Amino acid sequence: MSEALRDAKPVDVELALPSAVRPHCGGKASVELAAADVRALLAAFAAKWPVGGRMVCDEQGRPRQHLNLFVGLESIRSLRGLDTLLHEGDVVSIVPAVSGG
Amino acid sequence: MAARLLVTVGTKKGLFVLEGSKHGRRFDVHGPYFPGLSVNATLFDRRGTPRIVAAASSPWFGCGVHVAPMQLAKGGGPKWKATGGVPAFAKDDASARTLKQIWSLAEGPGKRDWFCGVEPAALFHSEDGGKGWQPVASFNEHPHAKSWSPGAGGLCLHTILPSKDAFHVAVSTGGHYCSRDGRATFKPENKGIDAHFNPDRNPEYGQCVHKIAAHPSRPERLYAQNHGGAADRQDLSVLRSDDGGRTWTSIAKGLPSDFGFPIVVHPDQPDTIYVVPLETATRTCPGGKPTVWRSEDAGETWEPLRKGLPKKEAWYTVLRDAMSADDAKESSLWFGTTTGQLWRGRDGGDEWEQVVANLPPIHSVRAATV
Repeated sequence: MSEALRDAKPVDVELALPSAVRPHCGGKASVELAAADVRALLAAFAAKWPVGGRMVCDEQGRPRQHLNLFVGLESIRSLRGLDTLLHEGDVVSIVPAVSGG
Repeated sequence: MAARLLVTVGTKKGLFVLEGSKHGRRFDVHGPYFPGLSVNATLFDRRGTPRIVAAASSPWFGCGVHVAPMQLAKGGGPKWKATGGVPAFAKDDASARTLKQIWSLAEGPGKRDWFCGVEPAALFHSEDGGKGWQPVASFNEHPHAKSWSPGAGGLCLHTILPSKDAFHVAVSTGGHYCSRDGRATFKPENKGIDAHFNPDRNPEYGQCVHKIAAHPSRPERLYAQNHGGAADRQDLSVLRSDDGGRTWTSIAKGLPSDFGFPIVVHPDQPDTIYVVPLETATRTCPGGKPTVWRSEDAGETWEPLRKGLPKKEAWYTVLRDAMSADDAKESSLWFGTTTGQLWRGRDGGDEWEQVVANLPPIHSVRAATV
């Protein structure tokens, strides 16, 4: 863990949910949580909404293969992955991949 | 009310539930339930309030186990409720395994006991109606597990056959394993099962067994549809064991191919079995002429059942869980195809009729009276 991450403090962010997950999170399109980075955000989400958390991440805590996560308009793949730091008011979106057939 | 039939048709895109009179030709089609999700396994559990149990697997959002009463409201389909629990590997799993799909469901010894087979190949047990699932460590942590490898369908535990004295499971590709000590240990038992895709054709384990079936009244006799389709011989891979799975003997003589996926035992006749031979290269019915083959003498002889089925240009594929027999007095056989047709073979398969024509690819079919 980098110095920056160790020092990061939780900030209030919004997590936008895909429609399949919403029924397991009180029907909400998004939830507000406090976290310092994306990894902590997903952990906080799973702690509050266990079924929703299970739908988003596998047993190892990794986002499922066919789900993409964005901070604002940027995929976390092009940022620092799960270690991407969050800023007050960020919107983190969980978007199912255009996959299947 | 006259006896009615319920048919669960699990597809690549959700579950359909058909309901109709036992003797009629028209069925109400309900669903799709769990739309977009693969449904590889359903179970009719009559212990307590009769229930349908369904396992749905999503490539996006993971898996779920759901239950609904078998008794449907008039004109309505099943009302599903998630059990709340899902099988899961440990967070510190040495191989970092994660659940991909649920492939099989079976009743356990208790009233609320179920077993569940998953991909990657592993066995889970619930004692509380699916609220919690415990890994069967003696199987999941078996020293062989790291060398099992996936077939085209994935590394799946597709067969769970509990009986009084033995607990059988089968993995593609891993082979047949049996526990005779209450699931404390599992041992491979594949003597006689060919593995032509392997440099050693008779390994201790690693066979690509496609399905194993047994009649509850004769648990020591098992039937297996193995991968088959060896280049040099096509008479090896439909098999029978008369010693509870310790040794296996081919019963494929008389069949047009020993490649196939399902093998089904008649619910009232332990010596009557059904297979759907497929061409090895295409995994479709030989010559585009679908035929179910029946043996009434435990595989000594076979007869083709094709009355009512297409006579040509029907290259059906029937997957391992897509054929089953219902429990009506005059049992019907049912199969579904990867091209979405559901067929019913009345009187044990003597006469076939198409029930539904255009479903998504069918993965699993189960039928029961209600």
